Amino acid sequence: MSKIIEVKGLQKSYGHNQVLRGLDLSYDQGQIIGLLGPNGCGKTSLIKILTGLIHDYEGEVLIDGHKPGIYTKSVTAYLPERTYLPEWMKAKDAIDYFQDFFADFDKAKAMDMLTRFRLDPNQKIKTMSKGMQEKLQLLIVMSRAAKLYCLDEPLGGVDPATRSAILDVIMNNYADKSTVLISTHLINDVERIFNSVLMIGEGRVKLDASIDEIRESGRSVEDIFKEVFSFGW
Amino acid sequence: MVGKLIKNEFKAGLHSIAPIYVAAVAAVGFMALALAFEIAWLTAISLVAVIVIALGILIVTLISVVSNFNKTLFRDQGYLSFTLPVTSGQLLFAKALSSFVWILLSYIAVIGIFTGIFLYSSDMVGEENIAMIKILISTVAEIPDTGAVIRVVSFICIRIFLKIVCLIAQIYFAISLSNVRPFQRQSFLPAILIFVVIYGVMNTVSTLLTAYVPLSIVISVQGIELSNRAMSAGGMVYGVADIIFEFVMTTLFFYLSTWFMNHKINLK
Repeated sequence: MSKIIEVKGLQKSYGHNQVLRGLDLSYDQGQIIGLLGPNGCGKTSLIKILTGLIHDYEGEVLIDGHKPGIYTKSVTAYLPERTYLPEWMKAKDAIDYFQDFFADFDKAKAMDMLTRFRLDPNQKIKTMSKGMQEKLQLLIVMSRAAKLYCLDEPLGGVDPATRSAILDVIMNNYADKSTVLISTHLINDVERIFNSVLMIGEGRVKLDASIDEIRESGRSVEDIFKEVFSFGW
Repeated sequence: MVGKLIKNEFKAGLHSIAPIYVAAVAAVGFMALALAFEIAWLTAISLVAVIVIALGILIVTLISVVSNFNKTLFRDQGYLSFTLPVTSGQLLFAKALSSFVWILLSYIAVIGIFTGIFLYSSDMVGEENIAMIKILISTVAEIPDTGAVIRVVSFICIRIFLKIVCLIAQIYFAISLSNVRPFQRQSFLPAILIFVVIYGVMNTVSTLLTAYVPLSIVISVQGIELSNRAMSAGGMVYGVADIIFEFVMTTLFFYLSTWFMNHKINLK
């Protein structure tokens, strides 16, 4: 069975600014990976490369054994840190749009979550609050039975109650044997759901460990984060 | 997947372009009512409104084509467009096709509106109008070589289609290039400058090719013919080298736009 994520010697620069300096990663299916690191450490760049948004990188990237392309996009569900749905659409249009393009999209599940989130299917996205737009995006992404979910800061800018609700949606809806990669700063809130933790800093892997290994050390993920990135504190 | 992309492109275009067509229909309706009830002041106001809206159709369509391409590929919506399981070429094709249809429709609407205004201002309304159409039909029917008429009309249509596609290719290329890293930070100005430069260069080269390359297509009262002269005394002249140049450049602009998307553009 091929690895869901396999990255070798990944490098990425923006002009003279090198954000990734030779990352090596390998993950099997069926994990929830916490992608942690300080601002500007390359988390979003890594996710953009995995989702096929950035092409001008060096090194090898394979998703389910394939280079980023049409196949990998069809098996990867991506939640960016910004609103990417067209404003003219209504909630139900956005759901239909995803059903058009993704064979693994479950419309009934999306409509059900829409009701549970108390979102009006006929409300236009441009009239929704930011929180409502984020909920809509999340429920659409989690209505896919993808092999890999890449969630970039899904908890950013929301209150603790909503954070908890978002985590519940993620935990209750990701497909069996799927891998979920969650980038976040809010370690405390998400620590409980991780199987693995990947910390990157200065463009390199600082820590790549299973949650069991971390627990065996007797410390929390947050303690280790503070230790690894002490230069930034 | 291309079919689904095209369907969604038309839906998106409809939302930005449809209101101006609704306004045009309303203005024409008011004008027809004003004429029917002979209300002079309403006729004058609705006539001005129709002219303004007709020009508005062209402007709104072009703005929509530019804004749709830029917003859906290189702004936040690009995060959705480029994570769909389709190629950049398929995205570009769907956008170009819908842009082509909207621009063509805007030309047809504007020509229709101004023809209507011309007929009205020439007092050729009602019976006179119908009489003129009958004369036009009988004139065409009397032409001995109807094949020549079909060839002329077909050639002119293809020429207009190519011009529209070339314009779309130039717009797409300018926007794509302006989203490559050195220009990316400067908002919309680089795209406008790049478009102005390539539009100017294209027109200059086209004019020179038509003037100096001794091979042209001439449309005259005799029909359409190939001529081994660059210029001709009578009829409309289309340089063959110019047409080939336009076709090659259009293909190149689309190719380069796709190449930039695949290799050089990182979404902000």
